[in-house]
Amino acid sequence: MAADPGPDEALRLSGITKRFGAFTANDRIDLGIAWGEVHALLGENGAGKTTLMRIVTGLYQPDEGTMSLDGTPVAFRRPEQALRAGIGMVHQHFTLVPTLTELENLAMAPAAVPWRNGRAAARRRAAEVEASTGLRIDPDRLVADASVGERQRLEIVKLLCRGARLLIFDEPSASLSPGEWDELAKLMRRLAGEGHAVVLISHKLSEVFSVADRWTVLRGGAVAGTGDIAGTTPEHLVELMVGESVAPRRERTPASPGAPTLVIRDLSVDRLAEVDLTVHAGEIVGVAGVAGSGQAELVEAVLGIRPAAAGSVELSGQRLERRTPQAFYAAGGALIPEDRHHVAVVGGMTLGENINLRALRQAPLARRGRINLGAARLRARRLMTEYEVRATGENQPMARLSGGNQQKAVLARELSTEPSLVIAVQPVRGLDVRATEFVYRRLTEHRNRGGAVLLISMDLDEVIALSDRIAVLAHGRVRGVLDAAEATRSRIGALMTSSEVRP
Amino acid sequence: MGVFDIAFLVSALTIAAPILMAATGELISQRAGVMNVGLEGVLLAGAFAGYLTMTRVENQALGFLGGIAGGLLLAALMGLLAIEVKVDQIVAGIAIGVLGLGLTTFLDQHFVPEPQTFKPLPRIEIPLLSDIPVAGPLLFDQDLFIWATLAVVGLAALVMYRTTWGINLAATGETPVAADAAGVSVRGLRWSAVLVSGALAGAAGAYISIGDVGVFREDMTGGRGYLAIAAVLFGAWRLRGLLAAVAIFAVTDAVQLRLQSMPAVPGEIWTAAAIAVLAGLIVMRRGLVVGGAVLIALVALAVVHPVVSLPASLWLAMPYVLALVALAAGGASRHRAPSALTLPYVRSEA
Repeated sequence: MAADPGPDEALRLSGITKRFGAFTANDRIDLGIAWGEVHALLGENGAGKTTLMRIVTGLYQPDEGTMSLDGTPVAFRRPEQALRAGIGMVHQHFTLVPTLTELENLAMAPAAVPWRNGRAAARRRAAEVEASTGLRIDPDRLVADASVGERQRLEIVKLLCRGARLLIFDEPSASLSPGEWDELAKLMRRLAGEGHAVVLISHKLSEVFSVADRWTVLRGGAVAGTGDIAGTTPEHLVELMVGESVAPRRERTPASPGAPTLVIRDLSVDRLAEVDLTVHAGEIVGVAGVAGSGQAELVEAVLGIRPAAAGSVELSGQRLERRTPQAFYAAGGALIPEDRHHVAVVGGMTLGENINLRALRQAPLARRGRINLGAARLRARRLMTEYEVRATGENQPMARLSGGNQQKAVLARELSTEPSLVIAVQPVRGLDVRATEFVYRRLTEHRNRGGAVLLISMDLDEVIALSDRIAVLAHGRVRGVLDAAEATRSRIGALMTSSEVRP
Repeated sequence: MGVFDIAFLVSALTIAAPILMAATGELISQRAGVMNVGLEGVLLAGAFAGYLTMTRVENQALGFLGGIAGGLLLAALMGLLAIEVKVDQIVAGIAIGVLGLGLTTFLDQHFVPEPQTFKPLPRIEIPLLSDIPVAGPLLFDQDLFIWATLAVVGLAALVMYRTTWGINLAATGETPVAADAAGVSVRGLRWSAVLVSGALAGAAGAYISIGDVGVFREDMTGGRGYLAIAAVLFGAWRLRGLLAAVAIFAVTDAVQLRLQSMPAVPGEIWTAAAIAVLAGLIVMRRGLVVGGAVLIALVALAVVHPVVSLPASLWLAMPYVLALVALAAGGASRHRAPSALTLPYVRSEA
């Protein structure tokens, strides 16, 4: 089924194998990438995409297998060599220096003689790139002052200036707004049209289908399939990625909302203005809106991290005066924070300690002011099984777990205390299909047991799929609350972009 | 005769030069992400190595080369610890500082049991120009080191702000992963920055011993290394700020040298201090209440002109007290520190 890239072949990998100890990250991978195509590389987290691309860009050396570029065998021992050969990567986290100007970021290069000044040459090359691709930068602006989309553009210009002909984009849409993604998609097509080769690493099938010519799916470190986009369907690719058919979204039992659990009245915090929002027991309320519409302010005000200018918050019938995080948790609240690495988990502590963090002050873990380590161990093990956390044991350092397992541990910690309200902020960010499904299932189960869930997400599909009611937040105000039945993308989109300020 | 005469300015310049030389090196090192807290030890190593060379060959050029070699040696140790072994830089720096003091004291007693004195660097009197009033003796009747310092600072400005190497330097201290991705060797750049800083501190140390006074004494750098580090911080990691900070420290030090020999504090000191505080308030636009109170007190002192004398030890501490005040006042600018300062670079966390 492998579509032959034909005579225009740019990069050919054959039999690439990479092992880390007993673990095989890449297993005899064959891959061909042609000039002038956008090639989508798909796969779940841990499927081996990152390892493979690190081999291609010279960060890792393969244990077995060969690479050839334009038919000539190549072996990169350092990233510089790959770059010199014309292979460049746009990382998810940009490799730009914020305190330098855009021009200086382009001029950064190994200096052959220390007194050379590369600024003028960089300006010239940037002009050449602009002439051929239309990519325009603002040379004298500090990178710190540029938007995410502009920084990504600079990153691409940087690679093109250095003569990259094969560009690898590692999940480029993760930090982009939809508008910026459309721009980028157009640009990828243009680069391919000029004869560059583009590799797009992505989870998002909609993106893949909108720009790619060919696809390759990795699963468990090996190639699960490859072919032309024209001859495939999203369902087929998902099946290849996951290895089995993901069950279609379960029929949702209709919500049976009970008493109000979270009642927010007239809350005004910084840019958030007069927000009224109620979440009942047994329902999931989604908050839709583009990033920066006031979501962070809402969560932080309810939690008590950010002081509110006006308004009240009631949780389980208790009015939360002088809100503190402690009072929030004591009143039966729980939080799945957006930033997993810095807020949700303590990377340096063990998995068991992370899971038990919330239960340390209650029996049976607390015994006359001391922690009952035996009980803590048992509890951690029980929750690990219950929440399918895969780890070598409860003593594994949290930072060593994969993103999906970390999130499962966070769910275990937050949901095991039977909270009346869970605030979930972007709970599946960066997770693969299977882990995403797990998080969705657990949140839905929590709601079915009579818990209340406030789901905050920038992903409209997620909000629509999970929520019973949807509140649309735009410019710090709730523009409307829709029932799941009447919520469509276009209706929510219209509310999101509505700019009229209601009195 | 007042406090602020030409001799005073000359002494301020002599005090400033070695601090400025060492601070320029430290700035380059810190811009690359390596903070050498043990700069004091490197200065001492330079001072002693220069002195030791002099006792053996009695040639000032070789003496300075010896001082530079001594500084390079300790800086190389710092580089080894910070860049290769990736030890915590603060801990490594403290070790370097202690080592510099202990080692030079020990070696001094061991190799040079009889203290020797040499002629300091000769002043180079430039004909005609040195006859200009004020500027003449100040600028055109100085030793070679003063000129070398000016050249080094000028060169540093050129390299830091006008070359690709300077861009790479800033990138390495700010976002090493970006420099690495651009093919710049983070390791190589940090090594060269640390060694440059060692060479400059070594030369500065040699000036303190054989260049300025012609002797070596235990711990004779007397905290100039720490002043240099303070100047880098207070100057917000910019060369211009660094110059201002060193100027302030040197003038204060020169003032205290003068006052030690005076029976009472002359009134012009209060006036000068009042002007300095006023200028500080205008520049900072902060701390108006405290600053204003100090200003009023100083003006009152200048007008009343009481006969006060302060103990010499208090005068000695003045530059350091001022450094502390400067650092506290400059607290807001601390966010301008290179982001990767003191952080070892480990690749592959792309």
